[in-house]
Amino acid sequence: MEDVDIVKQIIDRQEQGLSNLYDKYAASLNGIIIRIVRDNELSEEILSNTMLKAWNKIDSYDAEKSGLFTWLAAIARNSAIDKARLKSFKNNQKTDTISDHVYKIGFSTSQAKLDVERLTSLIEDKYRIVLEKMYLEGYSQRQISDELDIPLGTVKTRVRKAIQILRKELLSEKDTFYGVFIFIILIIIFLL
Amino acid sequence: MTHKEIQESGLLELYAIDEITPVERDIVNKALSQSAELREELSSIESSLMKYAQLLSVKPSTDLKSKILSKLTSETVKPVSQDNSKKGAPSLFSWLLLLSCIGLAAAYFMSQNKYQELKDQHEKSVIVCDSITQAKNVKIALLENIQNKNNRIIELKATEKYPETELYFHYNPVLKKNYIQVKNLPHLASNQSYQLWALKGKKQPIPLDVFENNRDNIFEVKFVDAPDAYAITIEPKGGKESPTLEDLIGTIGITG
Repeated sequence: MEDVDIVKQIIDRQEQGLSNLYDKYAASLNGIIIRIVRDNELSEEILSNTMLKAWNKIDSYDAEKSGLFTWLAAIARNSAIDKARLKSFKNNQKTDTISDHVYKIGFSTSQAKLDVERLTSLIEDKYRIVLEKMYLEGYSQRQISDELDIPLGTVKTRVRKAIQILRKELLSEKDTFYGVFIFIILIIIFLL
Repeated sequence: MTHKEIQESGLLELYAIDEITPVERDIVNKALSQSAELREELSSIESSLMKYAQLLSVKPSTDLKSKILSKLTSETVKPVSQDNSKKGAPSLFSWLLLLSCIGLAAAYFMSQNKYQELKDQHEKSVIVCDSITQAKNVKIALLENIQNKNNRIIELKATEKYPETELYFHYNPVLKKNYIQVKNLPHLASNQSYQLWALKGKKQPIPLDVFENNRDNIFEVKFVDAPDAYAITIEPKGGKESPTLEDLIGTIGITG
């Protein structure tokens, strides 16, 4: 189901809208939340609150400014960061390496694990670490700058570089898929 | 900042991750409202981050969804209507229900057609029954009339030209009704009819019924007060005003 239809259902106060939203994005959001708070129970509590916030504050979502997932991810990340700060998760768990932190959580499928490992191998550590800290651990630019001892401008540049590689790798996969799909259709048409 | 500077500064990426200051957010929002290229760029960044998150996704507990939906009722400002809450991917039950409804509608449609067909048949049968009843009543009235005690049955006296003729005339001066009972009449050409005449004294014969029934039939004909006799001739089809005496079949004497 398209995002626009889900949003319309929620605006219309259709319970099915939230059900569809959950089906489409809950696992992805949980993947982000759990990497920030590193606690299954707490992660699901935050995910639950995120879904209910989406339901209650759907009027504040502006499709002109961002995609639905971006909006949801912002709610989830901010909630998770708040919880993590409250419980001093970061202080307690700073002994973990970033890779441990990000990847020991687990994956929905073994294929997803392979895909992430392949993807991260394509991104140089200096870029990947900044992206993971910001996107998956809820660090601010300033915190990353302080922790890694790099200028703020460099944090921005590195995040941008990491995302550029993601775009190249992830979005080109989609193009490849469509290319293969169109190729198969053309062969079928030719055979008919 | 120009749009190009915004694009190259990494602000769009930070905007997508929601790691941006309020001042920077205002700058990006303004730029986005002015540039389709920037909006497309942002959309691409968001898509890649979403795909990245999908790869890192972790399935929540199986019962979490139902827990969230159960909380919904208490946290919802507006009530969720029953109908709306059922919307979404149709279940097997929904499909069965839909098929049942279609089946019922089809059965109803067919039964309506059958009902209309039977109703038409019934109406036709009623019309037929009415006509049969009417015919039966006519026959009963006829039987009652010819069995009436005032009824006289007079045999036609055939002429020499038509000796095979056999006909009975039912004459009832009280009821003022006449019936002809045909047993046998001469053959008619296709352009001929029989015609009944009333004979009164020396007056011209009075033309009465024209008929073509010539075998085993009984039917009513016109009554004339105080005739001396009746006569039957063969005439051109449709009858005439004066009889053709050469084709006189016979006479029925009333008086004497």
